[in-house]
Amino acid sequence: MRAPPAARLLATLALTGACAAAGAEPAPLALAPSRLELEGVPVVALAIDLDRDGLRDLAVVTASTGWGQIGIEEQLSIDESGALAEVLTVVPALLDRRELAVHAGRPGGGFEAQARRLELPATVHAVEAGPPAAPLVAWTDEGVSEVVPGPGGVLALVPRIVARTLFAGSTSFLPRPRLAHDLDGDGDLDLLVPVDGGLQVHLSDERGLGGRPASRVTVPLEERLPGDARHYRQGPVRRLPLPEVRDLDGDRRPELLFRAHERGWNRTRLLFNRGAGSFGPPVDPLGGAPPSDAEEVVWIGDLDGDGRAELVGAERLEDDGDSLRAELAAARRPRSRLRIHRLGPGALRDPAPAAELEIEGYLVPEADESPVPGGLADLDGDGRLELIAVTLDFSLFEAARALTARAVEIGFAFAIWSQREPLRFRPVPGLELTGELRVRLDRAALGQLSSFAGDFDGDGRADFVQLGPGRRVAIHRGRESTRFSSRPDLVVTLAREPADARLVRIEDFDGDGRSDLAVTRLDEGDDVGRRATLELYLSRGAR
Amino acid sequence: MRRAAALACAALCAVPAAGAGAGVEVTRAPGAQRIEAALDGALVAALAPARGGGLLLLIGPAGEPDGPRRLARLRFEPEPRLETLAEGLGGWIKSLAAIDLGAGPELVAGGLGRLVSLGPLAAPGASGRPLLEHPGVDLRSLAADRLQAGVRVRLAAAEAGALRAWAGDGRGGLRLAVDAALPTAIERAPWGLSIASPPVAAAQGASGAAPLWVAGPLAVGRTRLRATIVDGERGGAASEAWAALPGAESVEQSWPAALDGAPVLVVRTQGAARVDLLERQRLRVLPLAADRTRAGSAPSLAVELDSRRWHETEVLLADADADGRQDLIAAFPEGLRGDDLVVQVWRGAGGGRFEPRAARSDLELPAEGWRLVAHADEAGGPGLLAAGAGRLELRRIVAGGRRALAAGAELAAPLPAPPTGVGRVEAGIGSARTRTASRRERPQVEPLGAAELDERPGPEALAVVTGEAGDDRLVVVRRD
Repeated sequence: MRAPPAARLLATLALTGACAAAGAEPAPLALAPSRLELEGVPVVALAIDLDRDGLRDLAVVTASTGWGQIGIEEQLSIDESGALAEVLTVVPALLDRRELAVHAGRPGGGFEAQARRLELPATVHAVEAGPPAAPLVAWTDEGVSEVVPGPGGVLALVPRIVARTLFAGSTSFLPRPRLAHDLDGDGDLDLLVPVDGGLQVHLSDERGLGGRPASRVTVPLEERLPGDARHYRQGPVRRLPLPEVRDLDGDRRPELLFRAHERGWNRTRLLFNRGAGSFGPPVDPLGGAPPSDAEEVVWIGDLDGDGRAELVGAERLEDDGDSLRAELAAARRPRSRLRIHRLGPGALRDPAPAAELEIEGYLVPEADESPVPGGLADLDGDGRLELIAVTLDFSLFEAARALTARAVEIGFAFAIWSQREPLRFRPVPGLELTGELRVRLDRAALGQLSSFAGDFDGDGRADFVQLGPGRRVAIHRGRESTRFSSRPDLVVTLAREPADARLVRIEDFDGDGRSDLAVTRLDEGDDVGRRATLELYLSRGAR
Repeated sequence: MRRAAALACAALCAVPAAGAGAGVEVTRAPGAQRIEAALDGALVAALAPARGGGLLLLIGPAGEPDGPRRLARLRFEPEPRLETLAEGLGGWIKSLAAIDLGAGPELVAGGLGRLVSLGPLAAPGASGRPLLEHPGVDLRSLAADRLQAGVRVRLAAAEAGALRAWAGDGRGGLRLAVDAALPTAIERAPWGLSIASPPVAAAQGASGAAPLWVAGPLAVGRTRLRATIVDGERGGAASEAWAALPGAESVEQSWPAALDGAPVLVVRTQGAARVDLLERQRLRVLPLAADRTRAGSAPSLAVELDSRRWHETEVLLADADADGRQDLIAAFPEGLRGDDLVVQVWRGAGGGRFEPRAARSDLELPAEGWRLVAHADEAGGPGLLAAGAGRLELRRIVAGGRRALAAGAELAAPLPAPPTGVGRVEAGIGSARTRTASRRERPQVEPLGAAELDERPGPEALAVVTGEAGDDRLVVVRRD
C-alpha cells in the first residue's frame, strides 16, 4: 500500500514582474506559480480534458525505481517418489514503475494537488493527447488503449486498437512520440501505429478511435539493417522514419513527408494524401539527386502560407583566407545563399528558384533538437514563415578557459528575415536579441538558453524567452512587424535556479491558448526512490 | 622522420623473391616474408577457412560499394599467387563464411537479408544456391570484421529485437536452430524511431558455433545494467541477468563475453553525475548472474585507464600466460592526441576474478591502426597487431611479469608506402554546417588480424593499405 501523494499547491511564490509596456501595449503579462509534488521523475506532461468537464487537466507520467517484493513460484521434489510441492518464495526486488497521475483542472485556474492515478504496465510505451472522443491514448505492445475515467475516478486502460506494435519487447517509454496527427484534415487527431509492416493509419470520429486501420503505409527510407558493418559496434539498430504531417498541395489534407535518419532533408519521400486515411506511393521531390554538390536541402514545407510546398536549399559561401582567424570568423558568422524552389506538379522541385537571398548565421532546422534555436517559424502569426539565423560569439580563449572553469559560454545573436509578402524576405532591423548558451561541463547541463518559444499572451505571435542567468526568466513579447523590444516585458524570478535548462519546458499546460512555464526539480541522490517536483508558472495576464 | 627512416630501412631490407604469381610481390624482411597483392579493387571480405587453405577474398570495384564482386583466392603453396575464382558476383554480397552443411564445408556469401552457397569451399563458383532469405539477416551483425576465420557449425545473426542462428539441416540447407527475442531500447529522434538492441557476442567456443550468446547492456537508471543470456542448446531460451556499477556511470563501450565459462560484461564507462572533460576512462568487469532482486552484483574488477574519454579502447579476454585462466587485456591510446599505444594485462585469478595489479607496455610508435588478436603464435596465445611508422608488427601479449608485450615482435615487416591525402572537416550546429577546413588525413592502413593461412606453423599477420583511388593492396606477413 503506497502512501497517498504528498502533493500541495503553493499559494504564491516570489514573482517579480517588470512591465516595460509601450504605449499601445495590451494588458501586462503575468505568470502564477504553483507546484505539484510527484511520485517519481516526470517523463511527460499533457494538457487534456479527460473528464470532459470543459477544464483542462494535467496528465503527468512519472518513472520511479523502488524496492518491492516479487513472488516466485517453484516446484520442488520432496521425496524420491517424485512428489512435488509448490513453493512460493517472496524476495525483495527493485521494481521500475511508471505511473500516470491526472491532476484535475480547477475552475479558477491551476490544477488540483491530489491526482487520480493509474500504474502503467511495462507494456505501455507512449502516452499522447488524442482526439476529443478519446482525449488520452497510450501505445502498448498490443496496440493502442484509451485512458478512461471510471466510476469513483478510477482510471483504466481500455484497448481500442489491436495490433502488435514495434514497441513490443521494449522497456522504453517515449516522452514525445508524435504519433497523433490530423491525418484527414477534419481538425481532430488521428493515430499512426508502427507495426512490422509499416504504419497503420487509424482515423478518429466523434464516436472515438477507429479500431480498423484506414490503411497501412509502407515506410520509405527505412533501414532495418545498416549497410556499414561498423554500425554494429553499438549493437543492431533499426531505423524507422516517421513522417512530418503537412499539407503540401493546398487541398487541406496533409501529406506525409519522410526523411532518412542520415543526410536530413536531402533524402526525402513525400506521400500524397488520397483521402479517407490513404496515401499514394512515395515521391522523391529531388528526383533522385540533390540540387547540387554544393547545395543542401534544409527545409521542405509551406513557406508562404498558400498551402503549397517550397523547398529551401542552402549553399555555403566560402570566405577568402585560410588563416585561423578567417576560419574562426567564418565559424562565428557563416554565410549562405538560400534558394527557394517551389514543388511543381508531382511534388518535383522546380529547378528555377522562386527566390534567392543571402544570409549570415546558422539556419538550424526545426526539430533538430539542437540546444541553439533558430530555423524557420511563423513569428508574427500571419501564416508565412520567418527565417531565423544565429551568429555565434566565442573565442579560443573561451575554449581554453573551459578546461579550468568547467563551463563553456557561447554567446549568440539572432537575425530575422521577415516575409511580409510571399517569398520576399527582408531583414528585420534594430533587433537586439542576444542570448548565451552556457554548458556546464561538470554537470553535463545547459545553463542558459534563449529562443522564440511560446506565446505567453495568446496573440498568435511568438515571444522571445531568455532562460537565465540564474533564476531569471525574461520574456520579450512579439510585436507587429516581427519586432521585439530589447527590454523584457516580463521578468520572472524562479523559486530556484533550474539544474539544467532542459528541465524547463514552455507549453500551454492548461489549454488556455497561452504558453506556460514548467520547471522540473529532481531530488538529489540515488535512482532508488527518487522523487521530483513540477513547478508551474501559468499565464494569467489578460490577452 | 621516423617514418622516413623506416621506409628507407624497408627499401634496403626488401629483396624480391622469385616465383611469385602475377599481381603478387614477395619481399623478405629479417625473419619474415612480406606478400603484397594488388587487389585491383576494394576488399569487401576475407575468409581464412583453415590452416593451409589460403585466403578467400571478396573484392568490389573501388568507390562502388554495391558494384559487382570478384571472388579470388590467395594461395601460398607452392608459391604465393592470387587466382580469380569467379567474377560478376552480385554487389549485394557483403560477407563470407564457411559452414559444413553435411557434405563438406561450403562457402556462404551473405548480404542484407540473404545467404547463398557458392559451392564447396575447395572449388567455389559464381552461381549461388539460395540458402536463406530473411529481412533481418546480416552475418556481420555478430562478426563485423572483414577477416573471418574457420568453418562454422552455425550461422548466427542479430537484428534489433531478435537473435537467430541456423544450422545445417542434413540436406544441404539450413534450419532455424535458435530464435530468441532481444531487449530493445526505443528512442524518438526528429526523423523517426530508433529501435536498438545492445551488442551481442558469442560467449563460448568459435564464432557462430557457440551455444551461448550474451547481449548487453541496457542501462536501467544510472547504476544498473541489464543483460540477456541466450542459451543456444535450448533453442534460444533467454534469461535476464543484472549487474551494478560502482556509481552513476554511463556506458561508452561494451564487450559481452564469457569469463572462465560464466557470462560477463566488460564495459568502459564515464561518470554520469558529473562530467570531467579530461576524465580518464573507467573499465569494469561485471559478472552476469540471474538475480531475483534485480539489483545486480558489483564489478569483479574496477579500474581507471590512462586514456582520456575521447579515445576508443579495445578489450580481449584470453589466456595470455597459459595458466588455463583467462586474463583481461586492454589496449588504448594514451595522451591528449593518443599518439602512444598502451597495453595492459590483468592476470586472471580464476572464478571470474583478476589480480589487481596489471602488467603494462607502452608502444612508442604512432599506431595508425591496431587491434588485439586472439591467436598470435603457434600456442594460440593473444597478441597485438599494429601498423605504424611504415611497419606492420605482430607482438605476443605476455603476463606474469611487469611487461604486457613480448620484447620482440613475433612477425614484423615494412609496409608499402601509404598514401596521404587532404581531407576536409566541418563545423556547425546540429545539422547546420559551415565552411570546411583542410587537414592532413591519416594514412589508410588497416590491420585485418592474424590467421592461419599457409602450411607453416603459426598465424600470419594481415593488413590492407588503401590507395588514393580506393584500390586496396593486401599485405600478408609470415615467417620466413
